Amino acid sequence: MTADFVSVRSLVFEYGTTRALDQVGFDLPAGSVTALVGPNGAGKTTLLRCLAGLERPLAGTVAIDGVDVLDQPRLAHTRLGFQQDFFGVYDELTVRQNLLHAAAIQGLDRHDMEEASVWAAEAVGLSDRMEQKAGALSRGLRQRLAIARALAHRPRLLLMDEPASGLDPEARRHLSALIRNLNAAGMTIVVSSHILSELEDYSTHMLALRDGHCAQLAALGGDDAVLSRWRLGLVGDCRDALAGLRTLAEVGEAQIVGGDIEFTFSGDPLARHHLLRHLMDQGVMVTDLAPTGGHLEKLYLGEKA
Amino acid sequence: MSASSLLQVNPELQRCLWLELTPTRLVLMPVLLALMLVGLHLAGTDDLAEWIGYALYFLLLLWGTRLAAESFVDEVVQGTWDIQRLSAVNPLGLALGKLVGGTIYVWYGAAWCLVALPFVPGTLEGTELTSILIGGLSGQAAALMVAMLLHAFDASRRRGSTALAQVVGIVAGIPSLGLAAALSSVVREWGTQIHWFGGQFETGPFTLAQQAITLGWWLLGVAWLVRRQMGHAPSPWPYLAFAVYQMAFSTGFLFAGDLVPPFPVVAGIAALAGAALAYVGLFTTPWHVADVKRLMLAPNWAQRWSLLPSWLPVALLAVVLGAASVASGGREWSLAAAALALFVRDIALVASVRLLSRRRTTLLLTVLAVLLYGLLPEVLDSIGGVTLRAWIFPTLDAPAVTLVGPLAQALAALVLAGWAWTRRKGH
Repeated sequence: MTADFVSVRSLVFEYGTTRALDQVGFDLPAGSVTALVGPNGAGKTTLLRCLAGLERPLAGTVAIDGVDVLDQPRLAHTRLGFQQDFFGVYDELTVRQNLLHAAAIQGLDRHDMEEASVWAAEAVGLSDRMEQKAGALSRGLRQRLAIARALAHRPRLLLMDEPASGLDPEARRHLSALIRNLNAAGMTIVVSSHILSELEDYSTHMLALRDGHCAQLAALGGDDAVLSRWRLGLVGDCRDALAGLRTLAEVGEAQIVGGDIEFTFSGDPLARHHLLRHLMDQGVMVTDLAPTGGHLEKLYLGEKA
Repeated sequence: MSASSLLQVNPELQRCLWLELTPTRLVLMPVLLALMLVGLHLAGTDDLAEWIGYALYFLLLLWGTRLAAESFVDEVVQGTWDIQRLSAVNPLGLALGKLVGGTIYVWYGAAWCLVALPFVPGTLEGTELTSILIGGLSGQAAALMVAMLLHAFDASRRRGSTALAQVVGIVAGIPSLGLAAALSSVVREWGTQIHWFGGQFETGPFTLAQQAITLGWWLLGVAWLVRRQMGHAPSPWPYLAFAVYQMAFSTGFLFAGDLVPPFPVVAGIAALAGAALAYVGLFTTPWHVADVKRLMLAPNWAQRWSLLPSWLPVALLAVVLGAASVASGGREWSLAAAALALFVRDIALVASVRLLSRRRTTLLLTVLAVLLYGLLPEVLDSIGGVTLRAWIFPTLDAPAVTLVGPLAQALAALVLAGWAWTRRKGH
């Protein structure tokens, strides 16, 4: 995994006299899915627009896959796709024409254009609507088409600004699956959203922005991950189990919550197996062990606190 | 050429073809044109070729300029312009695709007019026809360029852009109103021959060639703005090149036959042309605080150059040429110094107004220009004549001490600009 596939240094951006980004800097590894989080007005959309080369910062540098976005914006555009928070589609064109145009403006040749349009339509589930005009699609389908346009040329980096906004639960589930699939195919993805629980489904990293500053960049999985949080269900007295847990090196903070035990844990699945065996050997009546969920939310809110 | 082939060559043109050339519209245009010609014929009009000329004017200039401006403004309104900005295509290709594609329907109509021309009574001279076609495209390019410039001033601007761009496009496109053609009209008074850099040219072909070159500059201008929209640094090169061309073009008329004008005259005329273009650039450049800060924060000279406002190198070139003219025996130095002081004053005033006021800055600047260059000289003349006027304006044979006036104005304007900058710069 290249550690600095997306490399941002000392980025400063102002709207009029308002500083939207102030000395923002971070590196994102290739193949990561980064949840870009922060309150309204934190600078998330501005940061994405700077990454895409749509806004020129006052100072700082942005490099994507080694390409300086400010020096070579058009070369950078071939390597990235940007799905914006509004529907950037041509309503009077059909789905096919929209996708062919999206592929063509990134310099794909004739054969690749056709193939790309079919692939992108399939990826977002629009294959059966290729001849339908974009303006006749529902909000959710137009959103999908906007995503398909952004990924038609199979960019190495996909930037998504509030992709789940306005989508129904089924479409959101579909979107999560799409992001996982694209990531599995090697695409590096940055997703900005307010819905942290969904971001948690597929994010490997979290980048938190606050008042235009880069407040936190954290890995959510792998060796560099912050400790994951688990809930242990059991029957009987929790205190013995808690004492037993605290003897293990992989266990961090642990506490009793509503008759269960919540604890942070740094081990792999085999270590979890040993943990369970250890507890059972001690006579703890374990009923279940599961991640607590809301990990990203807690991480974000923890940073906020 | 198939749709996918054209998509590969120029995606924007193909997109426009999909949108503009629907079957209904394809049928409607020739039907309407045929109805017009038949109607005119039945009404007893002899010279239908002349009417085809009018139809071309209507299609290419009146309608085409509107379509050209709308091709950009509509995309901004619909939120699809950012898609175009994210593309990897050549800016010139995108500019041409948008220009020709956005106006393809009127060009389709123009093509029908050309088809009909050999079969109708009357004649339309080849030069005039070519002039209309080139003028049409020039006008459309001008309209598109103005629409993009207005967007650069205020990205949230929605109303009025199209109408204003259309008006400028029409002015730029009508051969008798276009800048180059107007100049040609003046020289036409000298006879059917034009003397330019010692050569003799027929007025018609000379004007036409000038129109074609002007069209090339318009296209370059649009491509330059598109390039900037795609994320590239502004770069002052294109406008500087345009200014140098215009300087050379203007001075070319000084060389009549074997007459070689003295250097101070050539440099002086070139300086005047450069100063005029610096003013044009100055008025059409938005002074966003971020642009100025970006320039100040640029880490090296190459980046500083690429971020320079386009009028600045032209203004410096005009000053250098003016100084060269004075140094080699042209007008007296005090006159040139006074002119330079007023030049600095005007730049500082434009900067102040642009920085301090968000809206209607152009109107404010126009009022200021009328006051300073229209009303004030008249008032000064009526009160104290040339003697008083020399304290405010560059005046021939004025005592050197009167230079204090223009210098004081320049200083005051610079102080105002400095105050405006301090107030607006924020962080």
